[in-house]
Amino acid sequence: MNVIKFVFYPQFIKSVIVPFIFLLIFLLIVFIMVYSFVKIELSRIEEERGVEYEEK
Amino acid sequence: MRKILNVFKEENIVTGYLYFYIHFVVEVICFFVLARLVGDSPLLWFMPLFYDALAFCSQGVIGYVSDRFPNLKVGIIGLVLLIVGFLLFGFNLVSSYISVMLVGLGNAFIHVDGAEVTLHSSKGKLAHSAIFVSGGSFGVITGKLIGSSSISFILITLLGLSTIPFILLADTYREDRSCLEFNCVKKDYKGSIVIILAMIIVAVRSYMGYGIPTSWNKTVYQAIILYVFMGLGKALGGILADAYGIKKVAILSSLLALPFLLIGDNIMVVSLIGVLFFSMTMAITLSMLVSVLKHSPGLAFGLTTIGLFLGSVPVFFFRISNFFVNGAVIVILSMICVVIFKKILKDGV
Repeated sequence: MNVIKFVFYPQFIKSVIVPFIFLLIFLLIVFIMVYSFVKIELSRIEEERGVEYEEK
Repeated sequence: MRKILNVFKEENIVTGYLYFYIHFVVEVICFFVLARLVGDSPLLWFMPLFYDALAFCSQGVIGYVSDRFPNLKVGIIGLVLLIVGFLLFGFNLVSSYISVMLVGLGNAFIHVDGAEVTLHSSKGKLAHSAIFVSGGSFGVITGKLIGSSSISFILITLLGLSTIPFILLADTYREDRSCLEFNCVKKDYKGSIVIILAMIIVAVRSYMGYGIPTSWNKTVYQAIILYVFMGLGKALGGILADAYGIKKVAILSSLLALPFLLIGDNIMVVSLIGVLFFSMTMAITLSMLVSVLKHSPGLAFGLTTIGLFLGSVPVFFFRISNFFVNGAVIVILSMICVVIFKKILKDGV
């Protein structure tokens, strides 16, 4: 329903296009950052597990 | 019953109460702004999407930064952003997008602080963070209601400032920076798998939350009752999980919610029982993520909010209007959640 509104109101598209592009860039950056943070944390945990295993 | 009462005597449970109030006020401010901006205009649906994206998705990054720099006063930074954004909005000094951006980011910072404080002080218990999270539901409906009234924004600003002593007091409980004691997921699964599955549950529950059939919800009074039950469910989820075990509560609440939600489309009392059960898994998914990311509770909390956002995105573009299709979707998605809970969660926790 909202998609239809989006298509049929050109003045509406004009008013949101800049924040919409900003939002897409923001989300892209955030997702890449969060993905790398999770990767860092997981490798840290794996290392700890390895140390624990060796100690046993 | 005694087990439930004992939960309220848990160590540092006061952090949950402190952040319940802070969370409540923060949501009042945010939804006051949204209600004033959006009103009844169907064309302004983009603003809530913009707000959700900023407030929910940024918590992953803020959470990680807060985990790495524990001396950073995340709560105070959040409050400053929130109040500045709110004043700019109130005096109409900048574009409403900038106000919403500041308010959303302030909300994100304060949420992360709440998660950090409650998770670090709870010693592996869920009630603290569950009580903190539940404050939001009460704040959302209050903010929506007073946003559509003629109440002055100056009064709301004062309400926002009233959280300062609460944030400072809660911060004094942020002592323990060691590895968290959450340990509810089986060790057979890789951390990445647990994270993905927990996020799927959060996203699915978020999507379902918008699809719950509530034809009975027509008046302001009924809307208030609905949000009150959502909040109570979130808090009860953590409290019951501490009293009777995480796995039991996760599976039973997911299963028990189904009949009540489906039958209660036109019957308020039945539907509210369903909503109560449905909201209980909130704190459990957080504990699943913290069990993997033990050193990064802020990041873990951020992942749950990203899941919430991802689950809510489809709702901005389309909704299922057929009751039977909607019911079938709810049943299938709930069963997926139950299977994940059964496979991932440890027995006896």
